[in-house]
Amino acid sequence: MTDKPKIDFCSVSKTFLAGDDDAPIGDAVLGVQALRDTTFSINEGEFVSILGPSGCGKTTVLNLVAGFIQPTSGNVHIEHRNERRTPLYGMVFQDDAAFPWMTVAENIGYALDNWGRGFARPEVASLVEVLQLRGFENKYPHELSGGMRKRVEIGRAYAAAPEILMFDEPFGSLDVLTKQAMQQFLSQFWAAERKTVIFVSHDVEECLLLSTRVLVMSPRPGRITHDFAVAFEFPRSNDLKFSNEFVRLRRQIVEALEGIGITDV
Amino acid sequence: MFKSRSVIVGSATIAIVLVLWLLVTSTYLTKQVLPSPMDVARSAATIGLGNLGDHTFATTLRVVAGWCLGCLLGVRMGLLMSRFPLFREVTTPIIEAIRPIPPIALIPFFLIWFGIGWSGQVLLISLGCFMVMTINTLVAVNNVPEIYIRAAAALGASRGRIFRSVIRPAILPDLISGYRIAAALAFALGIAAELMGAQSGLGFVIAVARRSLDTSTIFLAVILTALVASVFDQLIKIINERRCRWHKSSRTSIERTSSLIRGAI
Repeated sequence: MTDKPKIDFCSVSKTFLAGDDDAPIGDAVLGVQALRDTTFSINEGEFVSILGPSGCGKTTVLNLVAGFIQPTSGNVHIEHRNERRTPLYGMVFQDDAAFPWMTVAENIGYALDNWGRGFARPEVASLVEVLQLRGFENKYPHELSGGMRKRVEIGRAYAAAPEILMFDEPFGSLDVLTKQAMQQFLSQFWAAERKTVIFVSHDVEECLLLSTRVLVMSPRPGRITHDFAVAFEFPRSNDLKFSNEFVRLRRQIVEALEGIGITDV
Repeated sequence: MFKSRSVIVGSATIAIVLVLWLLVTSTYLTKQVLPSPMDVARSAATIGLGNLGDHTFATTLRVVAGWCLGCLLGVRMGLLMSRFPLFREVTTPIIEAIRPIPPIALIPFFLIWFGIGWSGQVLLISLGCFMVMTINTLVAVNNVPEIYIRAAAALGASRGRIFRSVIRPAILPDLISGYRIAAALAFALGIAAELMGAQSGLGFVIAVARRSLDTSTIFLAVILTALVASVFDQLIKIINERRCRWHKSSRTSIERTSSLIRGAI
């Protein structure tokens, strides 16, 4: 880890106005202040969760990092080490976003192709292995299960070796068992390389299980109200959820959420 | 099982219609109102199979040529309009002004401009198909889920590449119905143009037979048109479904829908 933060938000505000070009992106509502005076920084190699109720501006944070939108006031600074050769970020969405007209291998190789590295067969093949999708390379997404499709999306976002991985409630549409399996998968996947991750979610347990840090965000206009360090060792197993330390931290976060008026996260 | 049943039922339907045709023409209806199968066979023998083949071939060639040209340009036009706003703003009033005109109303003009040769007929047919496919393509592009475009942009795809790798494959299933509607229109226009002025083709055969009230020949030409048109329609369907293997609902969708409805009741 370097001293300089990878991502630095300095009193960032964002208001969407009717007629703005960037207004329709994500779950933003017109004429509403999505972010107010938000300040935080994320260091390289951190897995940071942003936790908050729906519509509190979590997606706005991701869109600001991605450069899809610009802040109304304040500064967003991001260290992009290798602008020419690697993408800044890869994004995994809540909705099914694997291209249905491409096979698993084509989906995973898509970003590599965009970054002028052709369709890199060996890289795709090794990712297929890591994603536990061997034998499905030439299948189309509709022939896969929901969890497999999510793994394809994670692989696709990761393939071109972006400097930041962003997840926008990625497991929100999965059933409970698949969700748990995907959390285990993502945890192991991350622990192997420790890329900078921003993970947006409204599931306290999920955030604690995966992250090294949890930021709590208040309802609209969103701002970061709490910052929890999560110091559990990796690899983390599902049993961690029942440890005293986990339960204690979980209660702290739930109390923090109640403190800012959220009771049903 | 479904397939073989539908083949048997389909063949039975055709057989029943033929028997009914035979029955009504040998009892109630005179030859002038509806010629019997024997009458039709007799006029086929009179004209000669070779001659009939030539006329059928002439019509098919013009229709298919016009359809290909019109669809090719129409899809291209729709893509250009959806990609370049200025181009769209310039061309929309022209398209909207021409669209409501039934192409059949333009036949006299086409005869004046291009004579009674094949070129005018092909151009008339392609004008009709062009309009159908331009609108169809615009609607299809509008229907592409935003998530795929956002995902592609997040994976570093340029505007041009989003068009090539997302928009074009994503609209294919929606275009199939457009292609088939255009094909039906193409046959209608082809026959109409030949009726008004031509030297060959099934429409020409009808025009000549009409003068002597030779209803069996007219009916023969109608049957041949129907045969060629339905073969062409099936070809379009099969070829395009093969191109859209990735699309889960491209096959047996009517069977699935109706069985779902039955299940609901």
